[in-house]
Amino acid sequence: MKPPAKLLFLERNTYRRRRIGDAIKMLPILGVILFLLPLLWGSRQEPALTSITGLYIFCVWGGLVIGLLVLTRLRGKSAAPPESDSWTNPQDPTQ
Amino acid sequence: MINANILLVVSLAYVVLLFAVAFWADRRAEAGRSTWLRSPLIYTLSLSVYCTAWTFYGAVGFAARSGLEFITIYLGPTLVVVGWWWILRKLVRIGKAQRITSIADLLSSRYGKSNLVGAIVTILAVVGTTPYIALQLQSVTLSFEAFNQVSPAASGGGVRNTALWVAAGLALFTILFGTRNLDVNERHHGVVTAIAIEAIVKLFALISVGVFVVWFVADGPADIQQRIDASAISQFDVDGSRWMGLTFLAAAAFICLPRMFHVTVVENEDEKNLEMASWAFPLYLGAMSLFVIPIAVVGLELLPADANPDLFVLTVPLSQGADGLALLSFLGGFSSATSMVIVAALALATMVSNNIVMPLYLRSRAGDGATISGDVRNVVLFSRRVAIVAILTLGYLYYSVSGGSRALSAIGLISFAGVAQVLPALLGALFWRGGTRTGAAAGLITGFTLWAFTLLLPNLAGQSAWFGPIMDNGLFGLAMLRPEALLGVTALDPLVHAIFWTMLLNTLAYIIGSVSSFPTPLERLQSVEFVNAFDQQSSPKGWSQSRAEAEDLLVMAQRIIGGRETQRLFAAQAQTQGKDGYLPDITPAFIETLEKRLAGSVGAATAHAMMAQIVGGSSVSVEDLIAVADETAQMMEYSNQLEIKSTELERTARQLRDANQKLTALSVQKDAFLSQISHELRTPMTSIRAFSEILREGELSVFEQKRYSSIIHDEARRLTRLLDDLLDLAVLENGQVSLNIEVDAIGDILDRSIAAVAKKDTKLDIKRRRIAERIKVQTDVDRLSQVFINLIANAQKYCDADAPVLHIEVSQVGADVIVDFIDNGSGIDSPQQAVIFEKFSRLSDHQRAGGAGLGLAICREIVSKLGGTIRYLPGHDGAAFRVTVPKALALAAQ
Repeated sequence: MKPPAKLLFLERNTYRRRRIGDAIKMLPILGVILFLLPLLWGSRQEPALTSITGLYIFCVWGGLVIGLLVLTRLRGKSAAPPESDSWTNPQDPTQ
Repeated sequence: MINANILLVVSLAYVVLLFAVAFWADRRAEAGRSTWLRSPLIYTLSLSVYCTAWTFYGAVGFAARSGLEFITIYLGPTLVVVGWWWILRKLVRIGKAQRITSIADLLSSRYGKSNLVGAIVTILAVVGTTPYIALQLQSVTLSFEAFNQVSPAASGGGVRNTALWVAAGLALFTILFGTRNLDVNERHHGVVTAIAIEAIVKLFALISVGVFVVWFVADGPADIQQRIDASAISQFDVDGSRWMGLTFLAAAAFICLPRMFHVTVVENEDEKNLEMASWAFPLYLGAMSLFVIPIAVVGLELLPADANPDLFVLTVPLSQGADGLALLSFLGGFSSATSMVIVAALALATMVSNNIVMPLYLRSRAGDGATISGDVRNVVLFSRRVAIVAILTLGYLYYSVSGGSRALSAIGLISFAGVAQVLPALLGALFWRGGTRTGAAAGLITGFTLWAFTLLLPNLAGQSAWFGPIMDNGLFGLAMLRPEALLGVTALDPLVHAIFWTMLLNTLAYIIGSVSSFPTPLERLQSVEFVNAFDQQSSPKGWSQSRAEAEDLLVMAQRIIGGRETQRLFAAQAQTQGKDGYLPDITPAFIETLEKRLAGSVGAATAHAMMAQIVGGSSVSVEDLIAVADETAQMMEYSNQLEIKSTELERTARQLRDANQKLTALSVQKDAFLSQISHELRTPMTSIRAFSEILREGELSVFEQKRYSSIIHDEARRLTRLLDDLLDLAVLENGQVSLNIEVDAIGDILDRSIAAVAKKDTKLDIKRRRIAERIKVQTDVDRLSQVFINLIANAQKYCDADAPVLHIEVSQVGADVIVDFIDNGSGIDSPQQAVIFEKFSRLSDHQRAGGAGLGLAICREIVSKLGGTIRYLPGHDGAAFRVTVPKALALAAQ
């Protein structure tokens, strides 16, 4: 018989976990964009200020940390008990 | 005032504390009470080994020289850790599954357990890390000197040899806690715990200095902002390519640095630890870099222009008379340096012993095969200890030769760029099944050579006159080959220039090498294991069935992972196989497990080679692979067949159910028919007998005689017709019929059929479309017309409309001709539709039936002999039959 691999419809919890996983995957991409943004600031005559840029970078940094903290917590919360989780979904959720 | 002696005492005390912590942690782990040591917090803190003395001192120096650009060194790792789901998670999963001991081991294992790849990566790592170790020694020495400058009177002979003493002490620590035993999991609780402590010390120290600078030297954040705006680094005018290049470089280094790989992957106890590290480690990095700019700005303000900005973290508190803080800061820098050196030396020693020494050792003993004498563990441990000493000696030599005068960050970045050469092969290992050993070696060698040419050589050129001409005129005097302007690219910063070219050509060589070479079977197996690391299905095993003796394996394994551990493993395996004792059957799965366990101690390539010596020859051949693939294919085939069969069974069951229903209905019909046919036969028989008796008695008038004999005649005819029908059907069913093929138009056949029926009755109105009936058919015309007659006669008999009308519609679909007979009567109920073509079936109204209910059964037989079908056409007001016959009946169909 076919391996019971890809399930089309998932339990609500498992589905939620996977979407949170997706969100976690998107964070570094968002981070790259936000960290590159200061390069577009200021002009040749009037470059951006170190203090303002520094503040901005630390804000983004903090945002990423908080974002991950919240997402990993949410993911932990929506986790089904390990046995039943692995039973309903033997495959890795992202693969 | 703090003099050198106090410094020495404090550092010694600190070192003793570290030893004690490491010792305690190792003890705890041995006693099995290591849950706390495995916590995600310890893991996160151990990642901080990324923040070396270069970070601690050098970041401020970097910031004092080029402003906010220093932060890229932290942004890269932050992005990697934030993006743990992409790369780190897979690395950790593979590291566990394959029992990876180092980054060289990972690449060697992935590319067919190749010694070549492992050795290249090891050499690259040693060359790339040596300057970095020198950098740490230098920073410790510099920090000692910083105190001395403040109190020159205390300068003594001890300080001059600081670097040597530090190197020796670190070698001792690493040997003690890193090579105490040959752990099957290559985990060192003592080392990791000590590093976690050091992580806290350096963070605390840097934040203390930062708080001191912001709130005690300056008047809080607002004042600091004003000072930043007024300083030389007030403007954010970084070069975009440097910003991106450095971020990339730091990210690549975070993954590829041997020490980072060691703490992230090898020392990882639980994949879940990554989850916490994903946000906690960026937080740590952010905290480490938060006060860098303020310290740099205040240092630039307070200290003379010739002061070394790399030491601002120390000299700013010293200049303000905050000796205690300076001491704390010194300990922070000392922690950063020592933790880096310890982990780097440990990681490199593992790589050297597993990827260079062991293969050579095995080769030198190749003739002995399985009978190598002595405990291999001692060889491994000894080689590691020697490697640790050698690596630290190298670092010390580099430090004393290079003189230690240049800016710290320059060496750090060169070192980063060196180890980043592993990145293409590493990413290829994780995500591309097509990567091969040849490609990996080509990429590594290309990148490494270019790195030496574009970065290392210009760096050395400052110290040696030899390289001057090459720098100015290019290699072989070709301007195109100037180290810092390859192919005339001069617009880029030298570092970005080097990153660009090395990464581009490295990746290119890797891809070209991979695409143009053919992987060995083992490489292909490993590529599946790595790229599909998250699929839990077990892949085909690398070992074929072997005739090796379990005892040989036991003896060998004992020499590598020790007696107790080996016996436990063997006994457990035997138990899972359902056997008693210590010797399991040598199955491919067992060999695989054992090899992985050995790989956890001596590396994949060595373990594989040792197994091969005992198990014999190469582990897996193409034939084996094909056999395995065949097996898998057979399994799949088998399951497919099962599936097909089960659906077939389902279908059959449904058909059987239908058939059963039909049979039941038919049985009822048949009972009815039997009584009918006996009635049909008996009625004429009875009248024939009765009338013939009357005739025999005589005494009848001529008229009566005529009448009775014509009744007898009619009845006999009826009997004959009934018997004819039965005979006809029997003949048709037995297939003994011979067809008389002719060509005729459908219209003509219909004309004749209607003429044959019409004389009996004229009530039925037949509607036809002559144009459509011109189609010519090649078939048995008489038989077909027999069918038509039957259908038309049926319409005459059964159509119960007041003004019965029969529509005959002819059409052509493909190679078939379709003739529909549709009347306007009440039609046939759907339960009846299923059985009307069966023999003996007849609609309930027996009275009007002229025949015995064989007509449609005969029709069906005829049409099927003609290669067509006859069906009841539901969905019409009246009864509707559709006859489909091929336009040209092939003779072969007979």
